[in-house]
Amino acid sequence: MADVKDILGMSRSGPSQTDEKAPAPKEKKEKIKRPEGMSREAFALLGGSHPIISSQLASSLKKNDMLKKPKPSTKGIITYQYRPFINAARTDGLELLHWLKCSKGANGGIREPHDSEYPYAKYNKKVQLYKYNDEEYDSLIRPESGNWTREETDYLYDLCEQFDLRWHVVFDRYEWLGRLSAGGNPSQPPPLRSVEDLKERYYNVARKLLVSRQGREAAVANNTIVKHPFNKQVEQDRKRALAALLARTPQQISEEHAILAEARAIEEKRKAEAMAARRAAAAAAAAATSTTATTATGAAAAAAAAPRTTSPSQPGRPVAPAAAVSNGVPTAAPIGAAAMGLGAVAGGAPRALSPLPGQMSGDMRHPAEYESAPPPGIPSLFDAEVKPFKPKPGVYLRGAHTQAMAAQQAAAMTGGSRAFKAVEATLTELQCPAALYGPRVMTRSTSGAWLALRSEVIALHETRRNLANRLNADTDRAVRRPEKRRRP
Amino acid sequence: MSSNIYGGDEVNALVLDLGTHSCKAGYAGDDTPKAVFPSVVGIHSDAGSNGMEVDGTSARRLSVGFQALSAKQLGMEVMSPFGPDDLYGDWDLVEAAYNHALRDRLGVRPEEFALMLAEPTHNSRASRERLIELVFETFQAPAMFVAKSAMLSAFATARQTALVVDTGYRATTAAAVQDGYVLQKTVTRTPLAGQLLNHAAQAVADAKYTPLRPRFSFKRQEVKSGEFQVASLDVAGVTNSFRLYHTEQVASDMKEGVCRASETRFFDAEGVNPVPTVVYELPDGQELYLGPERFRMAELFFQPAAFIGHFPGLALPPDVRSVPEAVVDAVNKCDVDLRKDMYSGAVLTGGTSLIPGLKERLEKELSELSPPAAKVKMVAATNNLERRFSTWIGGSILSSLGSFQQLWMSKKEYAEHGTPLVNRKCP
Repeated sequence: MADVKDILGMSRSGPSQTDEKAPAPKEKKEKIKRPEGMSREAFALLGGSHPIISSQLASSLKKNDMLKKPKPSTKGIITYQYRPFINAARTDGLELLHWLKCSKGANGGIREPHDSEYPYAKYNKKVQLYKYNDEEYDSLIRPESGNWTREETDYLYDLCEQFDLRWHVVFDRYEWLGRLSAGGNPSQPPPLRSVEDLKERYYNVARKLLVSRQGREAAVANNTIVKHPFNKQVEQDRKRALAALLARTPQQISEEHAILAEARAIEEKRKAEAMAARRAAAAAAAAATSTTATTATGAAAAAAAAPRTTSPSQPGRPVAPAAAVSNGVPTAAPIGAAAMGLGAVAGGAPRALSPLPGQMSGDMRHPAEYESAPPPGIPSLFDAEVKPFKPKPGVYLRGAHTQAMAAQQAAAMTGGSRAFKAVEATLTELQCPAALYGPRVMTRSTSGAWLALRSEVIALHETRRNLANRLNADTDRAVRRPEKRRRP
Repeated sequence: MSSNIYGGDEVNALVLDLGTHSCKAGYAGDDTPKAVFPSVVGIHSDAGSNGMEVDGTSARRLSVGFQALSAKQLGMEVMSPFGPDDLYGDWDLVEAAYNHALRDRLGVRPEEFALMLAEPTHNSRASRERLIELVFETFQAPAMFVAKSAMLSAFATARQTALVVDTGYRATTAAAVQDGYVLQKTVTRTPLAGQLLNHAAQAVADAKYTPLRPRFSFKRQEVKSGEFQVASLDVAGVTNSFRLYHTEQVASDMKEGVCRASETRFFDAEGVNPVPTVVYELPDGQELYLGPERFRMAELFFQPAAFIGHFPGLALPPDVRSVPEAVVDAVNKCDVDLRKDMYSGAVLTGGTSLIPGLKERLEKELSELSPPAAKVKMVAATNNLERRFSTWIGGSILSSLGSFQQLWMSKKEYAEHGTPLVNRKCP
């Protein structure tokens, strides 16, 4: 064997190689069985220590089994014949030649079965066009044709049939130059048709035909052409929008992404707040059922701090209890508590309050916050919105100016003087003359605080009024005016 | 046939593609053409006594093919069958080319085979009708079909919708193919193509070294081992067009060996881009050292107006569009709905596209010119032959499809309806 290996160019050290190669291949047994069909000598040539060759040989021998005689096919000897064929999809009887797998019996070529027709003829599918005949055209379609002549419509249908309603190709090949009309007069050249024009014409005609052929609308209501009629304007707008979309510059695209990201963040925040409010309201409901109104005030005050639910309820229980609460604390701060107490003393579901009170609670400020000595640059006076206000150069008296601002606040209120009476009433209830008439000494801090107090009470009343209006609109039964209810 | 799951049915059909540079011919169903030869025709205007093709009216002897054109011929004009608008101009030459392909190279009788012909994408109606007249009357084919090159190139890459950019010999054509039909209104051509590059290479060699010498004009003899001596041969009697044609062959070789496209805009200031110099040896033994010129030639495709000045003797129309601009023009002529798909399905074919770096550069320029919302993806066959013969291969695929067999235009239909039928049957 050594000389054979030499001829084949293999190495001489057989056993050592086996040791190296055995671990490397997958699960191979050391001794490889001689495959059947291979003679002993031939296998010995391989040596068994060259798994690459022998394994492949073994598997391929099992599969192909080259030495076995091929079984004769039942159909006969297979030959390939070059035969002419007729394509059923053609109308002119053209005969081309192609290769057929035939089988040769005892005496000659027999064709393969299923040969009578060309198998690819069945792929000759056409799109179903709704085509009119002359009477249908005259009766149905001609009256509403606009600037479409019969010839042009025929040409359009021809193209549609040729290109299987591929509109972009139809539009590309559309070359209607204007033919002579029936009367023999040369018609004016037709307007340039866009894709939408062509589609509109075709779908209008098809729709009319469908409806008329079926008799009733209902029968064809499911057909797409009837259910979603072609809308030229929508198509044109859509294309314009698409063109604009494609033409955006990278800056615009990045801006849009930024805006969308921000919007998403805001949405998330709102959702989180709503969740928190719901949870707190549920806690408040649980708490309120088990305690009295006053003790619940404190707990519910926190609950009402972010009121978000929309269950309409009795609008604002009387401020009187809240006013009673606030009696002991005649400062601007309790107004906020009043507003919150408004939400608190419900005993049951929290109420529908607009975001305004919530904002107000954030906006409330202690009079001491209005500094008597404002930092340089910030004007000393306040305007009706309690913001630092820089008047025209001149001499002003703070007191007079503040009274003027207060009057302005009253005038700006919706509802006029009647509504303001309610505000006055509230301010009176505070049992602090300064609330109604203004502080005796108008310093910056007191005037600011007083204006703020007034604006908050005004806002409170406006909110109540809004709520009342909404309830009146919602419910059918007459609801007594909230103000009347509030007067015990 | 029944076991053919790929829908193929090889029939007796031939595919002929007469392009501006070379003519390709072969059997339908093959993957490459059997016969490829230059699509120019040599014309002897004397009335040859033993002429092969004696044209009765003008007494010209036409010869086609490599052998006819290679040896030095006296008094032979070399002309292309294409006219100045890159459509078939001289129909005798067209016929001569087809004849050579069919009878001399393939050795078939045209009346036994259906013919699939590829036509220029911007072919006119009149030209088509003349073509089928030629096929049916002169060659007596039983059936035929004419297809636009762009459509066939799209089929060769197994797409029905694509933006085909064919960088050929006379022009680069960008055409949108939708659903297997070429949208005629979107076909855009620009003359920046192989012929221009050949002239540019010639100008470079002429300006820097000596004028290129065609192969037939000299003889190289080995004097000592490794050393050669060049002897000029007598070239009197050789026509101008013949000389030009052969000089262009030398220039074309040089272009193929040396030309490269730079990855970014090529700035031509001296010393800005140190470009490695490459040595190219001409057939007559001269060595050319080419550095930035290699990039300047391909840069003509992208900045034609800026770079044309480097090549003395070359001229371009002032409003010529660069290749990326032509492609973007073609897409913008499409309907808005189609544009995004066109950008993401661009196919690059043509022999000139084999310039190293051209595809990447073109893709890059396109993404800059195209709207930022559209992603540009360009596909090009990796195989050399597939790019050069993609039109022919598409024709081979199309004509051997089972479901295509109903679309042939047969002689009988031609006899009944005449030539205008071609516009119906071969869209």
